[in-house]
Amino acid sequence: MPNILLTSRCTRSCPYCFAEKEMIDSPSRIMSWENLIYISDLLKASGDKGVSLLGGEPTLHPDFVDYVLYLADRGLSVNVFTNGIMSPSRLIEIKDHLSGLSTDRLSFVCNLNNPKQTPAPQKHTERIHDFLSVMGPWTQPGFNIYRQDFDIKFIFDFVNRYGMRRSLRLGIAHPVPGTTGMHIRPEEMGKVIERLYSFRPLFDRFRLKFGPDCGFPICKFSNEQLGWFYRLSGGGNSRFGCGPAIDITPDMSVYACFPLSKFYRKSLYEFDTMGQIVEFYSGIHRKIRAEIPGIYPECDGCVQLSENVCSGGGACQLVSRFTKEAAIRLPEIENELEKTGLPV
Amino acid sequence: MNLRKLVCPYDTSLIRSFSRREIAVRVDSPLLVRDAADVVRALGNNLICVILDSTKPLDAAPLQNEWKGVPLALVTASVGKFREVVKKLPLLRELNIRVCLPASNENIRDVRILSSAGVPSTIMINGPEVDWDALSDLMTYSLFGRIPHAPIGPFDYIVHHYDSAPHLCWGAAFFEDPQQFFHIDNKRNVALSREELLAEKFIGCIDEVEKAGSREIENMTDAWKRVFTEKSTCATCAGFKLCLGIITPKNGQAKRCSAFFSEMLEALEDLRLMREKALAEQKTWRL
Amino acid sequence: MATVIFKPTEACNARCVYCDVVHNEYAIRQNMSYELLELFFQRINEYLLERPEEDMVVTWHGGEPLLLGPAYFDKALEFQQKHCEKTAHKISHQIQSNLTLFKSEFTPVFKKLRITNFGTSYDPFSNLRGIGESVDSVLYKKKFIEGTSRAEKDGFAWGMIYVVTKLSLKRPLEIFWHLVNLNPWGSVMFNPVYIRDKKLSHLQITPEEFADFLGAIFPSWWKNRRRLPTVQPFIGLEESIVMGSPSLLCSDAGVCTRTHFGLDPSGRLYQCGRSMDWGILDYGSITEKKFSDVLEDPQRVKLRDRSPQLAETECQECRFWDLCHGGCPLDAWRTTGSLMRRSGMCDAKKIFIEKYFEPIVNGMNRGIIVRVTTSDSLRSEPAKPRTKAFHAKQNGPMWINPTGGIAEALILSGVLKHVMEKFPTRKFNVVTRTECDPLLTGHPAIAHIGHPPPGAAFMSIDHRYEPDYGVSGQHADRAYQTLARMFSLETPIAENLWVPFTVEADPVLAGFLPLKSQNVLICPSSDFHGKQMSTQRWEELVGLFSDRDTFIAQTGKYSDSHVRGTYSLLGLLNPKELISLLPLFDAVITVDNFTAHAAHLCDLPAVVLWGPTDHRIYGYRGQRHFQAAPSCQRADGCIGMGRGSDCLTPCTLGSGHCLDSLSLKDISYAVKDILKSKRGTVRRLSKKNSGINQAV
Repeated sequence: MPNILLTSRCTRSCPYCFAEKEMIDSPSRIMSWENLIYISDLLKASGDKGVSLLGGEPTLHPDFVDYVLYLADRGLSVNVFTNGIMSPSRLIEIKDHLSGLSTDRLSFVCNLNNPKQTPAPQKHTERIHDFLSVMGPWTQPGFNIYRQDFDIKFIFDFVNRYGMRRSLRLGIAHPVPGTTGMHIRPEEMGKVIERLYSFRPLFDRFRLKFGPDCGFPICKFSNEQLGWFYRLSGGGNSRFGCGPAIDITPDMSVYACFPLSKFYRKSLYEFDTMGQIVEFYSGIHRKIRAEIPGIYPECDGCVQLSENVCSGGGACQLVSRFTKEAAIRLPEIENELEKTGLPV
Repeated sequence: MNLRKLVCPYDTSLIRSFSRREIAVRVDSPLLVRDAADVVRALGNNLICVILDSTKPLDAAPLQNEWKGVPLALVTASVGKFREVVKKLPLLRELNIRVCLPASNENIRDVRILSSAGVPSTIMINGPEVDWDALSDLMTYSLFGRIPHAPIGPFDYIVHHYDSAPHLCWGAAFFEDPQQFFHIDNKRNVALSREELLAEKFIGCIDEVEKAGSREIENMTDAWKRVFTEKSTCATCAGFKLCLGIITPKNGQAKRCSAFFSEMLEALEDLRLMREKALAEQKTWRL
Repeated sequence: MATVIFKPTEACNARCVYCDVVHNEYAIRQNMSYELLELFFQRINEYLLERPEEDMVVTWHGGEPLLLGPAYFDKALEFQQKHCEKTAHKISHQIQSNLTLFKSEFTPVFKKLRITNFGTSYDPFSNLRGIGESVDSVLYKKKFIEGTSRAEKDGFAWGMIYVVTKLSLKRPLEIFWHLVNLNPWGSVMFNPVYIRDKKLSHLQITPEEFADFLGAIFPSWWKNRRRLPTVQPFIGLEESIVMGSPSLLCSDAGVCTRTHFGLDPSGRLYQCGRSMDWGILDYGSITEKKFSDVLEDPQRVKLRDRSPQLAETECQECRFWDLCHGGCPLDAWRTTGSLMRRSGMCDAKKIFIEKYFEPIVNGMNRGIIVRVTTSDSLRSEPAKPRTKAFHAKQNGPMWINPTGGIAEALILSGVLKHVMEKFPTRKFNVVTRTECDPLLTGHPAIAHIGHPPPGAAFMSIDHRYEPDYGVSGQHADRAYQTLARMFSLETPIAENLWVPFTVEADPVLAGFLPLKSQNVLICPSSDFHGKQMSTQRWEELVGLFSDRDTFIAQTGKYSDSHVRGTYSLLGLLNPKELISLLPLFDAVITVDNFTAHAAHLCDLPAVVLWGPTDHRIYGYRGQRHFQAAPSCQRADGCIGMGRGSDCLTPCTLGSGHCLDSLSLKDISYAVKDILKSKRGTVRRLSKKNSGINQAV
């Protein structure tokens, strides 16, 4: 499911934001109708069934409601990543025009920060509460882990209180190659997972599933933890994978995920189908992993990696590694690092 | 003189006076659409379409189920908010309707939205004050859009009638081609365009005009040649064939409209070549 | 086909500045008499009866032929009907007119004369063409447009000549578009002006200027030629050069001495219209001469030699001869004084074709380039040239940048063992690479495996870049030997493989395997399609030596196809585990992959199947090699430098691919032979090959 960035503006400033650089470099663009139609046609031609709307904060786009209605009318299911902070008038628009869409046509992922660990202005908190009061049932909570002592107790309260979908989108703050932002290092993953497991009674009691976003290494889960996770999430197709997540910007650039927004950034017009885009960036990932299979030495020869159950951590971690060493990797990787201005 | 198609008001006695003519009947009330269509057909004429001049934008237009089966050109100034239009889309798709809009920037954008949503439309280009770049983008979308979409006039008209023949008047897409259409008032006076009709600039009564011809029609037939004796940039325009100097650009606009029509001619040729190639490569036999 | 440029009058209502007729004080302004007109048609009839195979075109010219009035043409028609009863069907009429005087009164007689189109001439911008003594060009244009409109209404088409003068050179494209927009049904011809009056020399253009004028227009015409009227000389060149169907004007065809005549109002016969205007090549009066007499006139006969002479002299080396034939003799006379020389305008044609026509048209013939295709954009960036091994000053051991796969890592390990033995203190760092590290970790010659810091010096060990790679010779072309030389070892050297680890076979797995008295391991696996033999053939092969005393296992990737009849270990063994398990087997059958090298490491007899790669470079002595000769179109094989994209695509030959041509019977014999020789022996690993301890 590709991600369409409606705007680069955001109403919040999260300390771990790995989209920050991308937003700063493109401060004032918004997705035009013409480009949205082009993207929709591309998705339909490719047989895609759904799309995610991102930003910055996508609800800031002046035509946000119309865009969602349009995409839904085109037969696409729409998933919106939001921080929940929007103007009252925008919320009314959403309530009046979007609450008629079923939850399988429209969904939200509301990215929540711990109010104590990541304090926000009172107004923001109120706005989030207002949003969830209206659109709670369409919304699943999202949380990004950027510190080892993270606390997600508040999420359980939110889920209960606002009737949110009982599925937590759990992300890891990723490094942006060439920068020194807050992120979780490979050696910290074990502690992070232990910490997550410590909330197990709450997960169980409130039946809150969680889906790991890209970058979680399966090996850092003990068998007990993994077994619990499997049971909790209903087993099936859980993958500890890493993309490629395809992002399409307002100026019709495309890349695989925010941390790698400068790495192999292409124009959407260079591709004829979404499948080609996915194949292209999958190929890039393969090249990266032909150099280093994962974030740990044990990734080399790992059965779960070879069977695609786990990707061995995020590709951004590996590219970040390459920027700190001699230019010894595949020429394509080195050329791209140099071209994108990342330290080589 | 070849018999013209008639654009006439909804006047039963007027329509009754014609027999086996192709008629586009003009109404200004949504309630008259069905009646007008029925009257034209019942009186032995061929209905091209009903033209409804709407004072409301599309999002507020009172579409009706009983319009089904009536070919309808809905002339309106704008589309309005998509969030309101989307509620009407199911019915719009069922109607035999084409939404006709003047060529403003907003409408050029909205026509694309309508087309992608399955609603046919037409952009009425009446003069040089157009964003030609945006129109060019729209033309590209219309001709080479990635997936099937509803037709956009006048591009679909041009494509349909283009065969490298010398000249092509696309105004016919919105009834503005004196070679094909007479605009008639209820006194049977003939004007060569809607604008001239409203200005009461008539060339005569239809009976006389069709019997004896008229100097205006004669002059009009060769009107396109005037640019070759005037100091007009149109005469040296690569896209002249599609425009015939109708646009008459003002200062600074000539390059833009010229670029648009030239580009459109190239696109039409590309399309024609693609079709010829596809036909040539077709392996399945057919009768 | 004969053509008569017929000028029944040289009077004209226009005063075009460069016109030779209008400014000729000797021009005959009176109409040709009816007597002469009648005689003219008699002569035509006579000519056509003498030459039954010929047709004749009468081109009404002038001056302005419409000044004659409709009655004159009626008379001409009358005379034709009277005198050409049997030949009228071979006579066609054309007319060259400025159209400013055209009226519908002409239409009936023109229709009867089967005149369907007008040749005319026009200039939209300059004031060189005008009506009356004042050369009123505004009036001219107005009358011209009116005249063409009337002609079109009466069902006539018209084509126009545009005479290119100095004044035209600044705006070629404007002129072009103006003309084709004005006359979309007809044709446009660009001719250079021919000026004889020195007072008008400022209008004359050079051949280069004419070529550049055409060249400025040609790209636009070429791009739009399908929807534009015919434009000469472009369409003629396209037909002649691209389509191979010569279409030449009279000035280029080189046959005007056999085809063209000119007739002035006084009845004098000339070579053609231009010679009439310039007063040269006068062949006498029609009252005394027949057309066939003109053909045999000594001047004409001599002129007939022009083409053959030019072909052997001035134009001998010219590749455009067939398009030009030396050009118009009258133009040659104008510039050189001799009718027998080549025309100055030949250069215009040559320059135009070489500078403008061929680059565009030849480019199109190679195929239309539309947009870089998506597949192109998906290819990786071109690799930077790999540096050869270099030794830079640095602190610490040299970094080795291992290339290739795990097989190459095994070879490296063996070579480094030799290095260690010869140069005990020499150590290296090795860049970490997927799958290689486990094979090299702990090697005594390797100080560190990891990530080289910025600025580190490293050596590449891609033996394919070495000068002696591929060179025939006993040892010159073997990968092992080449690699050894890169580490300054003397070759030939024993091709021992070595691993720095001791691995015991997984007891669970080893105890689980249903081993028998004979145990064979097969490994069809390869990342390169070209190195694979089909699964079906493997199944056939297995069937040939399988019996109840033989246990056959298959190793490879999890995603490999299972060879039926074998015990699947697919995806269960990493390289170390494979090495540890090999001693349990008596023979290995494999393609060119890691297993072949691992078998050598473990001193295990192997049958190795080769296709696109060469056993002489990579195979080991003692192993049994079956080499298929590549049968594909690529003489240099499908695997190798610069062919990375081929590796992952199946061989286009399908079942005809080289490895599938190997004799399964022969392979099975080899296997049976190995097994036979193994019976009753206990095999142990030689300690020198590894740290492996394996009890059998």
